Amino acid sequence: MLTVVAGPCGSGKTHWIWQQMIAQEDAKPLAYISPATVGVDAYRLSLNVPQLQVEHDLPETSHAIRQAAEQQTIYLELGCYLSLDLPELAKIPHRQVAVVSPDCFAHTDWVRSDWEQWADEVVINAVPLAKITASKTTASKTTAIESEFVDSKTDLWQASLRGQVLDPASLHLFWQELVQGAYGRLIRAKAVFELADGDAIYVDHLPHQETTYQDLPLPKWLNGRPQRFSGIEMMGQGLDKGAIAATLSDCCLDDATLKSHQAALKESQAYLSQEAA
Amino acid sequence: MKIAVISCIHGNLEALNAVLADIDHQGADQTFCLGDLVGYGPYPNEVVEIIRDRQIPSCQGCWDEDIIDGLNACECSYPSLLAEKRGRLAHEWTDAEVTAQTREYLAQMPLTLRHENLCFVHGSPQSQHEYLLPETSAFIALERVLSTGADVLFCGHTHVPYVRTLSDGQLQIRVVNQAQANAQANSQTLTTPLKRIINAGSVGEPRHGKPQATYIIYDTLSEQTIFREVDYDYEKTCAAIVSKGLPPIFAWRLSKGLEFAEKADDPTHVCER
Repeated sequence: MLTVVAGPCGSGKTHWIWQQMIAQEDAKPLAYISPATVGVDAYRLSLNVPQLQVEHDLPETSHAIRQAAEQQTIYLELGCYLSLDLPELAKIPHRQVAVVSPDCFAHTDWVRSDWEQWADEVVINAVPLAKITASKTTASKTTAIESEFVDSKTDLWQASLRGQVLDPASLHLFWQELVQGAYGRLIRAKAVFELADGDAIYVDHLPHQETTYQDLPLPKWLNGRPQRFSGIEMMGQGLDKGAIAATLSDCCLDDATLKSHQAALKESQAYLSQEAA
Repeated sequence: MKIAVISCIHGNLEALNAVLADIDHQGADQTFCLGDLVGYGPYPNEVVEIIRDRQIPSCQGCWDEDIIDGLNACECSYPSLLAEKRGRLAHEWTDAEVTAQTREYLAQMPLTLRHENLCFVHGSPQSQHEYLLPETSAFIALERVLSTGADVLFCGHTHVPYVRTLSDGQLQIRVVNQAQANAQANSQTLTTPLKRIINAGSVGEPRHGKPQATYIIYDTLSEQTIFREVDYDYEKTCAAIVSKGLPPIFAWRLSKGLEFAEKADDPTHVCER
């Protein structure tokens, strides 16, 4: 079965997909596709659903899509900046689910009707989206049913950070600047970062809300550059992408500093083990 | 006598001019400057020229010293990798920008200034780089004031103005002479009268969440301190930061009253420079 999931920025699409995955009763393999992203959501889902198969996009032919949908339970998550027109799925059985927040309906009825027109099912997620006022002046379907946050001027920026380890104090400084608009008007940002203490964290910033930080359930990486996913995705308006990339790069540890940090951490761990023994 | 104390101008000419005008308006008899005339901001030479021409007594700040002696910071100067990279960038830009005359002036600045029972330093009497934060331990704070022999110690460097009163201070000194056979300790207890540390904030790089320049007026008779916040055309300084090739993030931070890069927040740290 193929389920296409869409919804406004920060409405809780990935959270809803995760809920469906853990509630699945049959033994069909689970697959998740989030096109045009470096894979922050995919990585978080895969940590919680170990058997999950992650793909970057749908198979190229209708036949292959149909075959995959028969064999797997596939969730295709469409970021709010992607078109909701899906001609390649016209002849393929699938379900379209819109995940929206209660706030969407509080502001305009036509948002609801548009979502209802597109979706087979509209899920009102408990995750609140603080303030949404839709604009009818935008032309395409993608933007027409979106909030004030996404329009034709919306910039997207994402980067894989695999192997990069960040200095926490620098990351804090950078993130404060980012969310306060130093590099343009930020709408949404989410990231997985590897930190100097060997831990990995998930950082999530929603419009008009405080940033949330979450430790990821992963072992400390203390031997060289982490060979696991880390990356950042953001959406905004007038983003100075060059400055963002350069600043993020300045937050990263060089080889010598990383080696020194990891040696100290390993020494500390050995000492604590001895103490415990 | 009414004195004005200014600090941490950091090449911000617009802010300095506005503050000096405000000082004139307040009718201060004398102005003292606690250093950091240069660094981060776009007009280091012009700021030095004004301080020199007005003959404002000024002690040397950490940035002034770094331009003369080169960077040799303790970790308290750069609390993050990002701050360090920005600081180095600003240092290199300033180092290339300053004239021989400016350099000469910075090199001859004293580390401390005295006026009657008042002492003026940039960071602390121990080092231009040491932060005397409001939360610094009372023992260290009192020791730093006592080491000067003054009753009031004026400092800057943190960019956040404050007054700290150290009352009923008591220091116990114990000297152990190991050369003596019985190695007995000689103890002496000193009880001190009320002392004060007064931080003047920052003219050119405020860090109190607003772009306004800060400085203080101190009345030596009434011992009253007045904090002054002065509006100035910070957007002009921001434009100059960008046009002179300094990182645009400095302009953004200045406009938010966030300071350019440094941020001292560990009151237990003792500067090792």
